[in-house]
Amino acid sequence: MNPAWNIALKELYTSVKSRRFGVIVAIYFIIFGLAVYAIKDYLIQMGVPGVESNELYLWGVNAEVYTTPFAMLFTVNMMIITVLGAVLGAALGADAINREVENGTAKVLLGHPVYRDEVINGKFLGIGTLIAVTYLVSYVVMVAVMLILGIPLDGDSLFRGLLAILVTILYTLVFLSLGVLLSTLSKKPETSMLAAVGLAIFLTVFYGIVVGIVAPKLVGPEPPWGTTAHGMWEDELNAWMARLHSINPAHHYVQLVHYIFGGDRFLNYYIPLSDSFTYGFNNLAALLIMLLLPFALAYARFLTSDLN
Amino acid sequence: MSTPAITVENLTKSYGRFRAVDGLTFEVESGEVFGFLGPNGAGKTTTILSMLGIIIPDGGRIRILGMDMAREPMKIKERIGYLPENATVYGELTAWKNLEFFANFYRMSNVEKERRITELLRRVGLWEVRYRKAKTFSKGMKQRLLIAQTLINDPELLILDEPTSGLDPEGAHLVKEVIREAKAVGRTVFFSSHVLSEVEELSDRVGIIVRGKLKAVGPIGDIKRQFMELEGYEIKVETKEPLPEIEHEDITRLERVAPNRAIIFSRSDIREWLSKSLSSRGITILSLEIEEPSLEDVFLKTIYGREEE
Repeated sequence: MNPAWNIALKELYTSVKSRRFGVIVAIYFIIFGLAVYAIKDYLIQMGVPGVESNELYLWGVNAEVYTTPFAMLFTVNMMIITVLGAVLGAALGADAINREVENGTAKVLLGHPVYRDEVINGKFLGIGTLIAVTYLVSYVVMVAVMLILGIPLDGDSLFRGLLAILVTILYTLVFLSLGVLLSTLSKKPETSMLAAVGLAIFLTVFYGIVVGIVAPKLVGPEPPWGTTAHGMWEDELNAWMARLHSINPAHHYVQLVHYIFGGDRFLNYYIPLSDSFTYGFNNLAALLIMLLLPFALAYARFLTSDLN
Repeated sequence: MSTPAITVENLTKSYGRFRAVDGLTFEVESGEVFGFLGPNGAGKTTTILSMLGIIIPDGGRIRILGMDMAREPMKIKERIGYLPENATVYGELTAWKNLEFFANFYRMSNVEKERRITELLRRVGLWEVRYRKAKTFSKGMKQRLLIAQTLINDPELLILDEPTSGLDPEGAHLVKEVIREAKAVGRTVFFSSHVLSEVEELSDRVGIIVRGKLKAVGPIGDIKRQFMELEGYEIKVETKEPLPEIEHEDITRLERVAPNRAIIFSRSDIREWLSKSLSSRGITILSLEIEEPSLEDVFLKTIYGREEE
């Protein structure tokens, strides 16, 4: 068996059997189930979907959304999904490597014919699969609850919902990658765990507030309202906010989800998926880079460090 | 002459300004049991981890089973078994699953895997608890499971770092048996230990490492002889008649423990001269023997004696 796959299967097996996974799955089922239940009356009574503007200042996102039950389920619960996804990924990755080193199992493992890159790949693959399974099962639960509650669903929304889940998996993997990086930087699993969860909460909850404070300082004093200078100042402010938000995975994730459920006012329907892809291409690319960069750094760090 | 099982040439490794291993060079012959001795922090584990590529040495060359560790680490690891110090097994996996996980790294058929795991679990006395999670095991049981994972690939070379550390007598006995069995079938064993009696009992040759440098290497008898040449001989003599005055330029001290018994401290082995000298004076010798130093004496003097110099 391929060593990386062997490690991934072991990781998946131990995770699925662990109490931690049980708690995570329970939390996700409850949250996704409750998310549907909490807005069920709204979803049932909302009638014919329309296109509405949705502004989420916390992540610097502004988009037109076609308000189907599925789209509303995601956009109304954006905060909880964004924060939980980040915390889940970061927490699962934060002790992936240093826990093995601390326990001494890394030495046992590397005494066998296993390359270090296979260890880190296997770990990532195993935890990544676990995350994917958790989300896909949650998606099924979400659909089931909607059907049980009699909330109308259509094929297009179901497909876009699945795409949103795939993007959520990617977003969670970004934080998994950050967690794995921290687990190679810190010798103590407790330290890396705190740092990873702290970083996840900061980026998803507080970073937007920081951007709101820092960006105006960077642009300078606000000119009088209604003047040309004010217009230019506003443009500059928006550009700085966009720059600052662009380093936050949560911004790209929320933006992508909004493009997936994006609406066209003229058609009073979803924008074509090809348009969603075109609009969200940069966000998708940014998320992929944010996934690969920390992983590459973790890789380099783990491959060159002494495990004594 | 067969290829040495282990060749370490000029190995160096530093952690910051601390030089853990300093130009270490030694060889372990194929089929021998080599005991690696040294005080805490002497560089034993660093040497072992370098031999396995788990830490990256600053310099030097390591060849295992005729292959270069830097070039063919996987080919080497397929043929060795390693038992680390202070390690543990995967607590969330059962004893069986732990061994199955490690067995999956080797080219073994499922039937062969099952046979090997069964054999090893029986061998280390964990067969009855094979479906219990390892986290519920005692320290001794975990160590026995670790020994089993070391043997999963039927290795040609065993590298054991403090294998009996923290083990109960039964566990320690098992380790000794594993080493003896390996030797009996011509496998090579390299092991580090603090338990000198164990090293003396099991090893064909020993190496003593102090502050990253090899201070002595060879068969225990040779090391003791070298030690005596350096530190002097302790000769016990017992005669029928009272002992007369004995004078020789190499004698440094003479302790009379009885009129007919004495301990002579000498720079050289003067037994032949003493025998002739006493016989010529009509003295009947009842016993004349060298008091060999224990490995502990040699070890302690090597560590502390040389430090003083």
